[in-house]
Amino acid sequence: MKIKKIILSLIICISYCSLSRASENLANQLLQASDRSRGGVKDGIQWVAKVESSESGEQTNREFDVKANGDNAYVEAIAPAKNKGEIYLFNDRNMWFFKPSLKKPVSISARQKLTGQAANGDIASTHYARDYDPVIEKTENLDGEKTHVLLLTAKTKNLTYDKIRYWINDKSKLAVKAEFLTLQGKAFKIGYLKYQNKLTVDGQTFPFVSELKIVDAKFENNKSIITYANPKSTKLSPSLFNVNNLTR
Amino acid sequence: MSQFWEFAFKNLFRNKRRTLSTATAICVGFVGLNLLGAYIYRSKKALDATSVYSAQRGHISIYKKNAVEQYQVKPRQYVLTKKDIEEIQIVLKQYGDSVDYTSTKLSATALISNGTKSYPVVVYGFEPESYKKSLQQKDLLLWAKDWVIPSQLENLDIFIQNPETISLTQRIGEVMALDYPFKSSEYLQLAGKNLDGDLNAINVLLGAEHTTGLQFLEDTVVLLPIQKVQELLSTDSVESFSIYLKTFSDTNDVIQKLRQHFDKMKLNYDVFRFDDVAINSMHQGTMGFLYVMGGFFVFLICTAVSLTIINSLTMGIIERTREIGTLRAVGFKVQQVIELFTKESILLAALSMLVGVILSFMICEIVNKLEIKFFPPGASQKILFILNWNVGIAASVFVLLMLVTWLSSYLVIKNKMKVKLISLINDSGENS
Repeated sequence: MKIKKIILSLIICISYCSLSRASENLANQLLQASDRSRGGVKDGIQWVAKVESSESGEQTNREFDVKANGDNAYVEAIAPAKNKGEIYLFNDRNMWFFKPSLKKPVSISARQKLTGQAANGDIASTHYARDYDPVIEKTENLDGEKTHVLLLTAKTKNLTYDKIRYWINDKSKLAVKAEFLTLQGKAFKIGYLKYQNKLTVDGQTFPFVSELKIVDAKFENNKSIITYANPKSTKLSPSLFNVNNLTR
Repeated sequence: MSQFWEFAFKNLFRNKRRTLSTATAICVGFVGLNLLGAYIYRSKKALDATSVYSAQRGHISIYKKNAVEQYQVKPRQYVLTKKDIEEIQIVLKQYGDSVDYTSTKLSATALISNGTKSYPVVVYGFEPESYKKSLQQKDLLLWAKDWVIPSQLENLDIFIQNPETISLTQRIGEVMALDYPFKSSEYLQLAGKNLDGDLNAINVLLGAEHTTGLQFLEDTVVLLPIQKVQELLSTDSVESFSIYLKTFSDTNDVIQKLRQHFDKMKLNYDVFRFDDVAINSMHQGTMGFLYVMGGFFVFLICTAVSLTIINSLTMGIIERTREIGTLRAVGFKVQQVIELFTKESILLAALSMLVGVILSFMICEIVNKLEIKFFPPGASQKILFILNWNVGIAASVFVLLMLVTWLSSYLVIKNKMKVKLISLINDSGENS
């Protein structure tokens, strides 16, 4: 009788561990797949990001040329004219700001507000699979489609957000909604994503993000719309992402 | 009348031991209040001088209406434009006799970077010319010398010669791992949001140092010529306009006139005195604490002096009950007897306090000569413990203790005078 009980307990334990392992694997797979369509690919890619912000009744427009390669990104402001030449360099998880008049680049935080609701970290490629620990919270229907709701917790302190609630479409494996949470778990910004672009990498074509709308959770009129244009695969030299080369 | 004083004086020697103990209590109380007053007076003068000159507020600060609350949130809407400054200067021409010089200020939050590390700071922008004038002010050097680093006085022209120079505190230098003393050959970067909300960065040259005097600001505040702060914020506007007067005493008068003038002309500016809680809560907080502490000690010492006099006089009256009866019997009126005893107490207090004046003055001198250094609460470094003996404070304490003495003695003797004359004469003085 005792042996039976032990075997039963073992079976339950093993089943539980297997299920949670499977759930963890699924969460990671979903995150990796969704990252790919937000620029998180190993090869070099390039796109133009236009940021239209509306805050407290004031409108601002910014335009950036984004070059990403793996964990690095080189973001150059191209409009308006007064900001032309300003560079944001993402070196792994470190971030630098540079403009031609500076003698040395300045280390800045990815959390810092770039413009409107968009943080510095929002304009570069997304590497949530690398930066966050995912847990599947639930599955729900969003716009009539089955969606997995993941809770992402930051692995380190220098990331753009501490916690994110992330909706990934079960069928397309694309992230469609994100709630950016405070440490206490309250949403302070909500992001909505669209994928009308296509990107071909290594002969494989897949949908690529075309719009990220970030809305203030309390004041809906305060929002930023990041439009992604002309995404393309390109070869990028590693020296482009070397912070020491900014001043040369 | 003078005979009464003579009687009173002679009576002081009838019980020398009691007179001496009462005099000692009054003298110690007087000296204590004087020394406390000297410390509070010094603290106030030092805070006034640092608020006006070190913090570059001037005696009077002018801001855009509600800017004190709103500037950090909506800086673009709450800055003073060039047109505003011109308007203020036109109004100010009417007070030319009172005004010594003027300047402008602009603050910003920023990241200071040495190429490898960034650290958040608050940048205070100032006009190099007014910085130089302010550091040379007699009041600052007299009352708040501890808050001016010798190198600041040695390099008064450093910001005029090179407006790119930034002044750091030693603590910020340590955080940024910079070599100390700071070398003027090293460039740092300041990055921050400009008034349009865009990230901007500028080069600044290391080379000057300062102290805020306050522990909680020592790792936060950097000083930079205003034109560089304007470059960082991409603006030609300023945050506030500072007016430095020739004397502190004109401050309230000029503020009142300026407010009336701005109201009359419907100009939207706020005018603040250098110690107004809206712009200088530190001054208000520190002085508020010192005044409360001073008030508490005044209450304690006055109570002690009063109780000593009541006790001493009561004892005296018990011993001299028959004498009071005799005085009344030979024709002295009640009021005259009260006057005699009150004058005894007043004379005793006056003599004690005269000794107290000399003692308190000597203690102040000795303490100042000893050059004792101490850490005031919240200060960033040790400062000299200086006691500024002041005639005004001594006179005030003198008048206060005189009032306490007069009131205490009057009440005691007045109470005794309620006793019938026959009872006074019959009283042996031992059992009444």
